[in-house]
Amino acid sequence: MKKILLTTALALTVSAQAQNDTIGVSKFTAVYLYECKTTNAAGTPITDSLMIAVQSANGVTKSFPYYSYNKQTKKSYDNYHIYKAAQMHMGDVFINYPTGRITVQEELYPNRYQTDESLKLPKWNLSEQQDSIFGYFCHTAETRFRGKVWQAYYTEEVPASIGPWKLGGLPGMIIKVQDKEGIHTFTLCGLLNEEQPLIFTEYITWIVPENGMNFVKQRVDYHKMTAEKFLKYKKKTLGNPRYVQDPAYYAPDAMEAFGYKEYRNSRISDQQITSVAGVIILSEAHVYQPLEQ
Amino acid sequence: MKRFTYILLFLTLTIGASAQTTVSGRVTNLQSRPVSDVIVKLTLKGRILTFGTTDTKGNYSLRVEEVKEGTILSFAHISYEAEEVALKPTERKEIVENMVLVQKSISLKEVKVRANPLLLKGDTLSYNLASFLGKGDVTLEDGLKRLPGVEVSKSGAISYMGKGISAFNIEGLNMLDGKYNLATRNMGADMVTKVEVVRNYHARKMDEDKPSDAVALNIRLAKKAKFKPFGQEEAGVGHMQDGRDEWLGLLGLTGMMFTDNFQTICSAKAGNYKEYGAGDMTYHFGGGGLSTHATSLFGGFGGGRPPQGESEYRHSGMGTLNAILKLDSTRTLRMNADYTYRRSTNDMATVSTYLSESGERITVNEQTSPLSAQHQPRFSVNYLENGRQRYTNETFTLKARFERNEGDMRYNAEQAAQRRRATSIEADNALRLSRMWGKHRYSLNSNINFQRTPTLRLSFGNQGVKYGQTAQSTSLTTHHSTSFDIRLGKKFTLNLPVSLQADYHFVETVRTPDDDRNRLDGWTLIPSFNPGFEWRSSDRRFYAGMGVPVSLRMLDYGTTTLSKLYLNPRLNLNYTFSANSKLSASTNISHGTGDMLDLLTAPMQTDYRTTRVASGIIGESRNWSSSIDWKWQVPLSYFTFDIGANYSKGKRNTLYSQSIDGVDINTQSLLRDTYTRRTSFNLSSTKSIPALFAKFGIQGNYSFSDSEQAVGSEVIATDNQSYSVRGSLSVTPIQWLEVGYHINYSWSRSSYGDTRNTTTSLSHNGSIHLFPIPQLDLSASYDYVRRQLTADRYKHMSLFNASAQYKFKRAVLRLELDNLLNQRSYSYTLFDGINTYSYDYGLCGRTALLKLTFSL
Repeated sequence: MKKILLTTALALTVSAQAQNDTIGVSKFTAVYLYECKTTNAAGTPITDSLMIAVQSANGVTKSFPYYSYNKQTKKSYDNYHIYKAAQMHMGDVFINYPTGRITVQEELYPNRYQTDESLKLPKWNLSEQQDSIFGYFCHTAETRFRGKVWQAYYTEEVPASIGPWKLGGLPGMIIKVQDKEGIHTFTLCGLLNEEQPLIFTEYITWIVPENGMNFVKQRVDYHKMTAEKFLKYKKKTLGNPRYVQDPAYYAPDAMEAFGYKEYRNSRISDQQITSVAGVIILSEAHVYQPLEQ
Repeated sequence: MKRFTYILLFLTLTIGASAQTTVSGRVTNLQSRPVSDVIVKLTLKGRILTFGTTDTKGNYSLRVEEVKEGTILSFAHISYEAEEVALKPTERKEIVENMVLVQKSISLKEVKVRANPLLLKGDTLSYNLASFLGKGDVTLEDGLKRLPGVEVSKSGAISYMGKGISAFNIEGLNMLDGKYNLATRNMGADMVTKVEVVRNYHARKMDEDKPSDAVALNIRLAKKAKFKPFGQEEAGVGHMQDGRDEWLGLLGLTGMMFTDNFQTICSAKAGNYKEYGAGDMTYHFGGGGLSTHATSLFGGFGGGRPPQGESEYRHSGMGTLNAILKLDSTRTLRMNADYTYRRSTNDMATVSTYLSESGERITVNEQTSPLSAQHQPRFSVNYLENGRQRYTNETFTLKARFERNEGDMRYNAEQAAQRRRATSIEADNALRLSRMWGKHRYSLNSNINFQRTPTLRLSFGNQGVKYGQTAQSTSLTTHHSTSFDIRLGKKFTLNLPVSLQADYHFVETVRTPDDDRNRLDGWTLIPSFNPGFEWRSSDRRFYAGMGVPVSLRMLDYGTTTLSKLYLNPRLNLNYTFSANSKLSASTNISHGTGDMLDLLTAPMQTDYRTTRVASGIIGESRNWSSSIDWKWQVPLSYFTFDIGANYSKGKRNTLYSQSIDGVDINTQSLLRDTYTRRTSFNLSSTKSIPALFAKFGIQGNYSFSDSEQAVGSEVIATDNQSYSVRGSLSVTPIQWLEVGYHINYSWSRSSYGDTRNTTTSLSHNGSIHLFPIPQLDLSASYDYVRRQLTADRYKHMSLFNASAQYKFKRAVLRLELDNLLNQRSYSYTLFDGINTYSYDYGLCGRTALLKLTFSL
C-alpha cells in the first residue's frame, strides 16, 4: 500500500537536476528526423521515428534527442518523445569529447551508461553525383562504417562537418543519410539560428523516495564502460527474442528492486510512461536494430 | 631473389609515399586566436581532391598526390567568411599555408522545425493536419480532402485508398457511429492537430492478431478544443432565380465539448438551401434507413438525381444530441438521439424504350415533379467494453419513419395521379460478447430486430379510373451465434462458430378495386455450423483462412415449405510484404434463398403503370466470387497505389420477365436457371507533394459482364462492357493561388443479339482559388459535361459556380453563387440490356446565398 502511495505521490513530484559542463557555444542547431524500420512483437512491420538535434562548438559535435534540446531551451516537449528515445536506444553522442574520443550517454533500464571509444570518423568516398534536397544543393558520399554501408547527401552551403549520431566528417553538413538496407534513415527537418551552449552532463541529481513518504535528492552517476563492452551487452540483451515480448525481462521488477515507480502521462499518446530515477521502463519494445555492428 | 623482391616493394612504397605533397597550416581569426572546425579543401576544377577540418589549435594537414596548376585551397566555416588560395605547382613536398579568417554573422537559410507532416507508427499514419491545410480551408472536411490517399465524397463519406473507413473516432472514442459529417462539417480544421489513419484496423482489441483490411480514422484535437465547450452558429439568406422557393434561408447552431472522459456534439439546423442540415445526418456505416417488406415492395416515386448540378428543391431540418462517456480505460456508454426532416421535389422527364414480345420498341414519355417528405426520429444507446480479454458491445436502437410521396405524371400526353403514404417503425437490439480463455476466444452474438409497417397506402388516378394498393408487414428476426476459437500453437487457429437464425414474417397486400390480395405469414429457421481454420506463418507475413460453413435453411410459409442444406466454402489468402505492401486474394461460393416475397402471386400495383407478380417459387441462387488485390503505399513519400481484380459468377433458379401492354408493364418470374458473370479490374494511385501543396490522383476501372433478361417467354442474352478513367490534381503554384482540375471519362456498351448501344460521358472540372489577402478566398469552378444521348446526339452542359469567403478572427462570411450560367437541364441515357432510359433533369436556377458562420 505504501508503495502504491509513493507511486501516486511521485507522479506529481518527479524532478531532476543535472551537473553540467558547458563545452562551448553552438552557433546553430540542426534537427534530423531519425526513422528506423523494424517489427513489433507480433511481427508487424513498424517504422519508429524520433527527432534528433545536432550542435557543434570548439571541435565537439553533440547529437542528442530533440526533446532534450527543447527541455534545455525551455520549449515544450512531450513525455512520449522521452519514451521514444528510450525505445529507439538513442542517447547523447559527443564526438571529439574529450579530444580524440567519442563519449556516448545512454539509458538502458535500470541504469544510465556512459561509454568511451577512440574517435574514428567515417572515411567517405565522395561522388560526383549531385542532387537537390529541401532546397539545398547536395553531393553524395558513401562509406562503410561500423559494419554498415551508408549513403549520405551533404551540402557545402552549410560549411559544418557535422551529421547525426556518429556520422559526420564530410565537407559540409549532412542533409540525409541512410544505410544501404534502408533500416536507418536520418533526414534534416530543421535548421535553427539559435546560439545555445553545448552541454555535457556529468551526473544527475534525482528526487527519490526514502523511508516511506520522505523524498531525498540522490546523485545518479553514469555507469562507465567501453563502447565495445556496452554494445556487446546491448546486442546480447536487446537481441534476445524475449526482449520484444517482455522489454524488461533482463532486469529486476522496479517495485521489488527500488520500491517505487514514477508515472508520467503523455498528451499525444494514450501510453502511461513509467520510469525509475528518470530511466524509462519500456512497456512495448520493437525488434532491436543496431546502428553499428 | 625473395630478398630482392622485398627491397623493390619497399622502395616502391617509400617512393610512392614520399611522392605525396603535404599541405598544412594554421587558421586563426583577426584576434590571432585559433579557429577550429574550419573545413579545409583542396579542389581541382571543382572536384574535391582531399579535405579535412582544423583541430582546436586551428591546425590542419592535407595530403595530395601532386599540386597541379589550378589547385585551390579553400577554407569554409559557418561563422567566418570563406577564403581561397590558389596553389602553384611545386616540387616541394611540404607546403605551409596559414590563413586568417574574418568573422561574419551567420546567414543560414533557417528551416523551422515543424512536426513531421506524416509519421508512420506501425499501421497508423499520423498526418499533421496543419502541414496540409490550404488557406481557404475552414472545416475538418476541407482539411481531410488535402491528405494524401484520403478521399471525401460529395456525401461526406471518407475513404483511404478507395476503401471506405469503418470507424471514425475522436480522441479514440466513437461517439457518432457513422454520422461523422456532424464532426467533419462543423468542427474547424484549427481544432484538430493530427488525423490518424489506422490501417488494418481492428474494432475489437482482442482481434489484433487477426488480419484485417479495414481502415479507421482517429482525430486528435488541439488543446483549445479540450475541456471547454465550443461550436458554431450559422445563418444565411439567399435568392434563387426561377426556383420553387425564391427566397432561401438557413439557420443552425452546433455545440460540442471534449474532455478526457466525456464527449458531446449537439446540433439543430433548418433551411431550404441544398442539403443544409439533413446532409449532416448521413449514416455512413449504414443503419440510418428503415426498410420493411412493405416499403421495399412499394417504393416512392423519385427518379434519382444527376451526377452534377443541383436538381432538387429541398427543405430540411434536424436536431441531434450525441454523447459518449468513458467509464474507464476499456468501457464506454454512448447515446445518440436524432430527428431529421427531409422534403424535396424536382422536375424530370424520362423517355423509356422497352422491347416488347413482338420485337417492337415501345416508347413511353413521362414528365413528373415527384415530392417526397419524411420525418425520421431515431434513438440509440450503446454500451461497449473493449478489452484484450473481454469484449461486450450492446446497442439498442428505436427508429420510425413517416413518409409522404406525390408523383403526378404526364405520360404520352395523358395525366396520372400518384400518392403514397407509409409509416414504419423498427426496434433493434444487437449484442456481441467475446471472452478470452487463455489463448482461446469464445464469442456470443445475438441480434433481435422487429420491423413493422402498419399502413402503406398507394392511390392512383389515370384517365378517370381510380385504383390503389395497400400493404402492411411485420417481421421479427433473431440471429444468435456463438463461436469458439481454439489456438493450436502460434500458427494455427480453429474457429467453431454455430449460429441460429429464426425469423417470423407477415405480409399483406391488397390491390383495389379488384381486391387482388396476398396474405402470408411464416417462419424461417436457419441453423448453421461454420467451421474454419486459420494459419499464419511464423513471421506473420502469410495468412490463410478457410472454412466450410454448412447451413440448413428451413422455410415454412404455410402452403410452401423448403428444407435444404447448403455448403458455402471460402478461402482467404493474405501476404504482407511490408507495412506498405500487401497482397490479398479470396474466393468463396455462397448460396441464397428468397423469402416470402417470392410467394406473392396476386398482382401488386407498384406505380400507375407497373404491376408485379411474383413467381410463387422460393428463389434460390448460388454465387461464386473471387478477388485479388495488391495495395502498395509509400506514405513517407506520399504515394499510394492499388490494383485489383474481381470475378463473380451467379446462378438463380428464376428469371424476371417483362411484358408490355400499351404503357403498362407487367413483371413476372420465369422458372428457369439463369446465369450472370462479371469480371472487373480497378487501379488507383495518388501522389502528394507537400512542399507544393500538390496532390495528384488517377483511377481507372474496366468491367465486362453477361447476363440474361426475358421478354414474355423469350430469353435474351445481354453483354455489358464499361471502362472509366478519372484524374485529379490540386496544386498551389504560388502562395496566393490554388488550382484544381478533375477529368472523368467513361464508356459503356450494352448489347443483345445484333443490337449494340454505346454511351460515352466526358466531364472536366476546373477550380481556382485566389487569396489576394490571406483572409480572403475568391473561388470559381467550372464544369463542362458532354454526355452521349443517342448514337449521334450529344448533350453539352456547362455549370459555373463562384464563391467569396472572408475569414474574420472568429467568423467566416461566405457568398456562394451557383449555376451562374443558369443551365436548366441535365440529360443522359442509360442502356439496361434490352431497355433504354433517357433522363432529363431540371436543374435549379441561378442562386446566390450569403452565409455567416460564427465560432462560439
